[in-house]
Amino acid sequence: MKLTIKNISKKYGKIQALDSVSFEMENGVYGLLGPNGAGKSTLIRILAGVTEASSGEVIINGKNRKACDPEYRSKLGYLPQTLNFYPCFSGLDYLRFVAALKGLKGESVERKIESLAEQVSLTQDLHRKCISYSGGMKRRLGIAQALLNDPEILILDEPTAGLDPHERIKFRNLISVFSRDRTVLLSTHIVSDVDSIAKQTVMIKDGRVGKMERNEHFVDAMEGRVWLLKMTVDELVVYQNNHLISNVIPAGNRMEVRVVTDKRPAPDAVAAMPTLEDAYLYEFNFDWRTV
Amino acid sequence: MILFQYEMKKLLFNKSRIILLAVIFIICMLMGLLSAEGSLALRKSADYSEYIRLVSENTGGFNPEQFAKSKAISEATEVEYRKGNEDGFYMYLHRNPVQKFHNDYTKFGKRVHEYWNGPEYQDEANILGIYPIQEKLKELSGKTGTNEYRYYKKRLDTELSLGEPVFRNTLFWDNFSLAFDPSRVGFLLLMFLAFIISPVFTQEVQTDMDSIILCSVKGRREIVTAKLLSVCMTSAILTAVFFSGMFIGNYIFNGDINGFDAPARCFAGFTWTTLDMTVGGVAMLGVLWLIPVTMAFGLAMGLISAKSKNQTATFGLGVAMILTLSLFGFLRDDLKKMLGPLADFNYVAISIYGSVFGGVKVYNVFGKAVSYGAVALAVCFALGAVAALIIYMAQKRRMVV
Repeated sequence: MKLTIKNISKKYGKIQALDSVSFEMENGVYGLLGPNGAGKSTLIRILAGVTEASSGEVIINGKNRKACDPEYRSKLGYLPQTLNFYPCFSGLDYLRFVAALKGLKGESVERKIESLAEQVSLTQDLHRKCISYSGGMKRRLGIAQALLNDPEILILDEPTAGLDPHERIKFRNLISVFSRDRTVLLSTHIVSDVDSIAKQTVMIKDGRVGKMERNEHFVDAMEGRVWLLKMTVDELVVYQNNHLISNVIPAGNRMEVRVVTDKRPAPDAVAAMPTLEDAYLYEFNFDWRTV
Repeated sequence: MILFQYEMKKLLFNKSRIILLAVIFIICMLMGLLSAEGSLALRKSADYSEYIRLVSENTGGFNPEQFAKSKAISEATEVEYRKGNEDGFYMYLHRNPVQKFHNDYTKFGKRVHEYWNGPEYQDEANILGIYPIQEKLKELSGKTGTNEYRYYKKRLDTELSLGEPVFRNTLFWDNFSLAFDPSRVGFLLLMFLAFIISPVFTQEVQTDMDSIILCSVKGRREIVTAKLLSVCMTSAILTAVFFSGMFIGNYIFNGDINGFDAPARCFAGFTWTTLDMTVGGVAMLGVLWLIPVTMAFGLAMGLISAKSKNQTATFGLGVAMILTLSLFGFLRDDLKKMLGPLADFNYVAISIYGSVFGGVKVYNVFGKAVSYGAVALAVCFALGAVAALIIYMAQKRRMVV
C-alpha cells in the first residue's frame, strides 16, 4: 500500500488551512505532529474523504482516491478527533451499527466485536449505554470502531486523548501489532506516543509540511543542541524569556534546566541525550518559512 | 435492513421516544374523549331511549311528513335556544335527545333537498344537484363530444348510482370525524411528527458521527435509504397512534360504533363525496390517506434536517412551515387563485381529508377532469420523491467542515 499526498491545499474562506502539502506513506506507523491550528485535522479529514481539498490529490497505489471509491472506503479505518455517541445505543449497538455502515455481515462481525472489545478492555461494559461511558472508554470504543473492518489504512486523530497511562501503553501495543502490513497515520500532541511506535514523523505547521523524517533522524539531528545547566529560580525566570526550555527539574536549592539551542548556552552547560520531544520543540520554535 | 433497524432505534424505538409516543397516545385519547363529550351527555339523558326509538323508526329513506314535523320543532327550538352560541346550542341538543333528533332530521331533509336541487349558492364552475346537472346537460346537448359534457354526464350517473341520502344513527362517526379536523391533524399530528423527525440527520452532526458515517462504505447512499425508510415508518406509526387514540377516546364515551355500514355521505363533511363506500370505509380510507401525506411531510422534515445542523432549528422551520401553510386555508379565494397549486397541494392542504375527498372538486389535467383526491395523491408522491432525491444528492456531496 502506497499513499501519496500530492500538493494538497485547503482554504476556508480567506484562511489557508493547508498549503501544498505533499508526502508519501507506505506500510507502518506515521506520526503527524504539529501545534493546534496547524492543519492536522483538516489533512486527516481530507485523507478520510470527509472533507474535499481545494486542490491537489490523494493517490493510492498510483490511482486517485476518488477513482478508488468505494474500495478505498472499505480499506479505511478512521477515528475523528471528537466523537460522541447516540444516547440510546449501548457499546454493542454502536459497534454493530458501525459494522453495518462498513458493510460487514455475518457471524464474523460478532467475533470481531468480541475480540476488539477485549483488546480495548470494554468486554464488561459492552451492554451499557455509551452515554454513561467515561472519556477514556468512549475513546477506546472509538478505536475499536476504527479497527472493525481490519483497515489497510488507519487514520487516527488524537487517539490517546483522555486515556490513562496504562490504556495508552495498551493502545500503542495494539497499533504496533496492527501496523505490520498496514498504513497508520497518527495525529497527536503527545510526542511520546509517536516516539514509541511511529517509524516516521511528519511535522506540520501553518498548513505546511516542515519535515518528514525517521524519528531517529530527528533525534540525531538534535545532537549537540540539547544542554543541561543549573541555575537558581530567579535566574530561570529571566532565562526562560529568551531560551527554549524543554524541561525543568528541581536539584537541591537550584534547578536543572534542559535547554534546546544551537550553541552551548553557558560554559558550565553539559550536553544531553536528545529526544523526539526536543526535536519537536526545536522544529516548531524554528520558522522554516524564513529559510 | 440492519441499518434501518438501527435508524428506527435512533428515531423511535428507544425509551424516551416510546414514552413520548405513549404521551401522544394519551393526549389523542383525551382529545377523542372531548369530541365525544356530547355523546356522553346524550347517553346520560333520561330521554335517551326515546331518541333511540325515534332514530330507529326513521332510519332509512326520506319521510316528508317526519321532515315537516321535525322542521317545525327544530325551528321553534332554535328561536328559543340558539342565541349565537353554537357550543351552547350543541350541548343543549345533546342534553335534550328528542330535540336533537328533530334537529338531525331537519338537516337530513335539507341534504335530501340539496341532493335533488343543489345547494342554495351554486358554484357555476361546478354545478351540484340532480336537477341542475340535468339542466346543464340539456344546455350542452349540442356539445356531447366536449369534456364538460362528459364530466357532467359522469357526475349525473355517479349521483344517481349513489342515490338519495338516507337517515342513519352515525353519532360515533360524527364525533370521530373531528379527528380529521385541520386543527388536530395540522397542529397535533404534523407538529408531533416534525418534532420526532427533526433529529434524523442533525443528530449525526451533533454527535460527530457524520465523519464516521461519511467515510464508511454505506455512508453515502445506503444510510440515506435507511433513514428515509425510518422516516416513512415513523410517520405511519405516529399516524396510527394518533387515530387509535382518537378512536379509543371516542369509543369510551360513545360505547358503540353504530353507523359503520351507513353510506359514505353520512360521514360529516362528506355530503357531496363521490366515494361509493360505507362510513367505516371512509374513516379507514382517511387514516390510510394520511399515512402517505405524513410520509411526504416527514420526508420534507428529513430534507430540512439534512440541510440544517441543529435539531431546534429544524423543528422551528417545520412549525413555521405548518403555520404558514395553514394560513393559506384562510386566504380569500382570489388570493388562493394567485397562489395556484401551492394553496391546494401543500402539505397542510392535502392533509385536510374532508376537502380532498369530501366534495366534487376536480382539476383540469391535460384537458381531463381529474378528482382532487387523485391529483393530491400524485402530488403527495411527487413531493416525497423530490425530497428523497434532494436528500440523496445532499448526502453524496456532504462534507465535514
